[in-house]
Amino acid sequence: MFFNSLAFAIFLPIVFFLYWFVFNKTKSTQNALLIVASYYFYSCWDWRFLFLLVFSTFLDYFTGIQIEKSNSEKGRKFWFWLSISVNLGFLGIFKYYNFFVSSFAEMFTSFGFKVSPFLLNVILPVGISFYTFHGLSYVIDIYYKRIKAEYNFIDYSLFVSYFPLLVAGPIERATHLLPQVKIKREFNLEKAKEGVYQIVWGLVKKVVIADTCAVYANAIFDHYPSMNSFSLIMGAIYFAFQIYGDFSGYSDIALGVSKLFGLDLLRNFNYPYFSRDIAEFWRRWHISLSSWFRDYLYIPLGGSKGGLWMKIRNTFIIFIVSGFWHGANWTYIVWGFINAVYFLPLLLSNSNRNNMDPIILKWNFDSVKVLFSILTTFLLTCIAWVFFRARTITDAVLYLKRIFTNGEFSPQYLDNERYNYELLLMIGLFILVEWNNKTKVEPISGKRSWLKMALAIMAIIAFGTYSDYKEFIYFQF
Amino acid sequence: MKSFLKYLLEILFIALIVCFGLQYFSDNGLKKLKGTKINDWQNIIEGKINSDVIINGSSRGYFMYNAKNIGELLNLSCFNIGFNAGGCNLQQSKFDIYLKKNRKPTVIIQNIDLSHFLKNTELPDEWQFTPFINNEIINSFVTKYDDKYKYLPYIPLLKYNQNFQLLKKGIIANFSSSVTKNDKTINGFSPQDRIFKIDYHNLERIKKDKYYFNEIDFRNEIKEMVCFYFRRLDKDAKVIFVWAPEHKLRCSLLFPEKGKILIDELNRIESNNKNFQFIDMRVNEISNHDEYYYDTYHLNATGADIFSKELAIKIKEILN
Repeated sequence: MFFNSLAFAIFLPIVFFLYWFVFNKTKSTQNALLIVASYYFYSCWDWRFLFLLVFSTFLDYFTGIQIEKSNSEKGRKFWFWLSISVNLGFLGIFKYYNFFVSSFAEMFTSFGFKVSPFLLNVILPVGISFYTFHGLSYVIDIYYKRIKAEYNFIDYSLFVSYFPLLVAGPIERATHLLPQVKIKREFNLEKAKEGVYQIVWGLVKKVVIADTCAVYANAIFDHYPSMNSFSLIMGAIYFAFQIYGDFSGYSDIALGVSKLFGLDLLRNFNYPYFSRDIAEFWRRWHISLSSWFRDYLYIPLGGSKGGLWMKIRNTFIIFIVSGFWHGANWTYIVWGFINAVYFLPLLLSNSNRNNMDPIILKWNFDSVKVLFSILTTFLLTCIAWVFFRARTITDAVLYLKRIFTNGEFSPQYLDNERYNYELLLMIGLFILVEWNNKTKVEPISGKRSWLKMALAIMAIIAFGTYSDYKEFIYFQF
Repeated sequence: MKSFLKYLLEILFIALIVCFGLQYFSDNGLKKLKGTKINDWQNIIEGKINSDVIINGSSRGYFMYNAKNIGELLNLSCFNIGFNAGGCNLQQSKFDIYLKKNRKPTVIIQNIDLSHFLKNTELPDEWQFTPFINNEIINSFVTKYDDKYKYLPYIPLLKYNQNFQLLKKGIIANFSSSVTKNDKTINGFSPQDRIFKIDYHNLERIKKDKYYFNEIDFRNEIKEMVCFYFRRLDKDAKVIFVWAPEHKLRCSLLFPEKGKILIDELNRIESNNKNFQFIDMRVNEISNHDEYYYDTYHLNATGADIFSKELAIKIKEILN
C-alpha cells in the first residue's frame, strides 16, 4: 500500500476516524489501534514478513529489558551483542548475502578458480533497513544507559512498527518517539492542519515532480549510449529531482500523516539542494540517517577526535557504510566513496561547519558567491547521483565520459516526448516555491494557505503521474 | 475536530472550484477553436454538419479526401469524418455517433484498403475526446475502450492529466484562434503540408500484417461493411467504396492475392446492387510521384487536392 495509492486514500480516513472517535479513550487503545493498522499496512506488501517484523520487535524489546536488568557487565554485553548480531544477521541474510557471495565468487573466478556460489532466492522485506535501525538505536541507547528500557510491549511495538515510518523512515529514536506514545494524544487543530499541508506538499513532490522526472530519467539512463551530452546532463538533473521528490515527498507524507495522529516524527529533509557545500548537504539530506550514523558509528569510532588519519578513516567509513546501507551493489559503495572525497577537503580545512547560518541573499557580490556555491554543490551531487542510479560502475563511468566526449547539445527525442519543456518549467517553479519558503517546513502554510492548497491539489490532479502507482525508491533500502 | 473536518471540506470545495473552472475554461477554448478535430467533434455531436456527402476512412481517409473540393465539384455539401489511426470498428462508431444528431447523408464515400480491416482495441489520439468526456454520447463510446472514462467525468481536471499541452492550448484558445498548419481541418479534412519522407516503420508493418491478413475473411467482412451503411441509410442513398492511390513502394509490397479477393468481392457487390459503387484508384499516376506524398502511406495536401478532384469527377459521373 503506497502513500500515493487509492488504497491508502481509503485506509487513512478509516484509521483517522477510528482513532479519534472510537479508540480515543486512553493512550493504550490509541496505541493498540495504531499497531493493528500498522501491521495491516505492512501485510499489504507481504504478510509473511510480518513475522520477521514481530520477531525483530520482540527481540529488541526483550534484550533491552535484559540489558537493563543484568547485574554483570558480562550479561549486559551478552544481551547487547545478541541483539546486534541477530538484527544485523537478518539484514545480512536478506539484503547482503547474495551480494557478498557473488562478489567473492567473481573474485575467485578472476584468480582462475571455478566457483558456483549458493545464492538465496529471497526477496528483500520492505523497510527492513529502517525498522532494524530503529531497534538497533534503541538497544544501543539502553546499553550506553542513555535511556531506560521500555516495559510496555504495546508502546514499544508502536515505536518500531508505526505505519507512517515503517517502510521508508524517517529513522526514529526512542528518545524522541517513545515519550510521545506513552501519553494520550489530544486532537490539535493546528497540528492536524500542518499535517494536511505536509501530506499535500509531499504528494506534489512525489506524483508531480518525482514520477514525471522518472519518465525522462529512465528513458535517458536506460539508453545512455545513444544519448547526446545535453540529454545526459538533463538525465542526471532529472534523476536528482526524481530521488529528492520521491524520498523527501515520502518523508513529508509520513510526517504529515503522523501529525494527524498527534505524533511528531523527526524531520528528514531541509531543502538539501540549497546547500552551499557537501557538509551542509549532508546536514539537510536524509537527516535521520546521517545523524544515526554520526551517533552510532562515527562518534563510537572516535569521530573527529584523534589524529588526521583517524578523521579521514572515520569519514570514509561512515560515507561508505551509508552508501552500502542503500543497497547491495558496488554503485552505492562508490556513491558513498565519492561523497567522502567531496567531504574530505572541508574536513581537512576545518570548514565542514562553515555554513550553519541560514541563507540570505542580497544584491551584492557575496550573494553571487553563495549562488555559485549552491550550484557547484548541486553539480557535485548530480555527478554522484549518476553512480547511485546506474546499473553498474562501468555504466556510470561511461555515462559521465559521454557527457564530456559527445559534445552535442541539441534536444533529442525521448521515449515519451510529452512534458519535456513543461517539465523543466515545472522544476523551475518547484525550485522557486521551495526557495521562497526555505525557512518553513513546507511551503503551503502561512498566508493564503487555502489558495496554495487548492493550487497544489490542482497540480496533483492535472500533472501527477498515475499510469501505475510508482513505488517509492527508498522502499527497496 | 469539527473545525478540522469543516476546514477539509472548505479546502476541497475551493480546490474543486479551481479545477472545475480551469477545466471549463480549457474545454470551452478547445471546442470553439474553429477548423480543428475537436471543433469538428463538437459540430458532429451538436448536429451542425448535416452534409449530403460523408467521407469516412482511417488516416488515409482523414488526410487524403479534400471534402471541400469534392463538395464544390459535386455541388453538394460534403464533410470528412475520417478517424486518424482508426480501424473499421472506430470508423463505424464515429458514423453512428454522427447519425445520432445529423441528417442521414445521401452519399457515402468510404476509403478502403487492406489495412481497413484492422480493428482497434485501444483509442488512438485520445486527446480529441478530452473536452467531451462529460458528454453522454462520447462517454458511452470511449468507455468501451478504456474503463478510466467511467470515473474521469467525476474528478475535475483529471482528464487533462499528463496532457499539459492540451490544457495550455485550451486556455490559450480562449484568447487566440490560431491553429498549427497540420492540425487545421477543412470540412473535417486535414491537409498535411509536408514533404515526402520514407516511413520505414510503416513499410515494415506491412510484412507483419501479412499474418493478420491471413486470418481475415475478406469476403464476409466487406459484405458486412457494405451492409453496415445500407442498414442505416435511406434506400436510394449511394455508397461508394474507394481504394485511394498507393505509393509505388507500397504497391510492390502489398499482397496481390488478398487484394484480388477484396476487389473481386467489391465488383461482385457492385454488379448486384445499383446503389453501390467501387472506384479502384490504387495504382494511379499519382502513385509514381513522391512529391504528392508525405510518407508511403499518405498523400500530402497537394496530392490530396489532385486525387480529390479526380475522384470527384468519377463520382459526378456515377451520380449523374
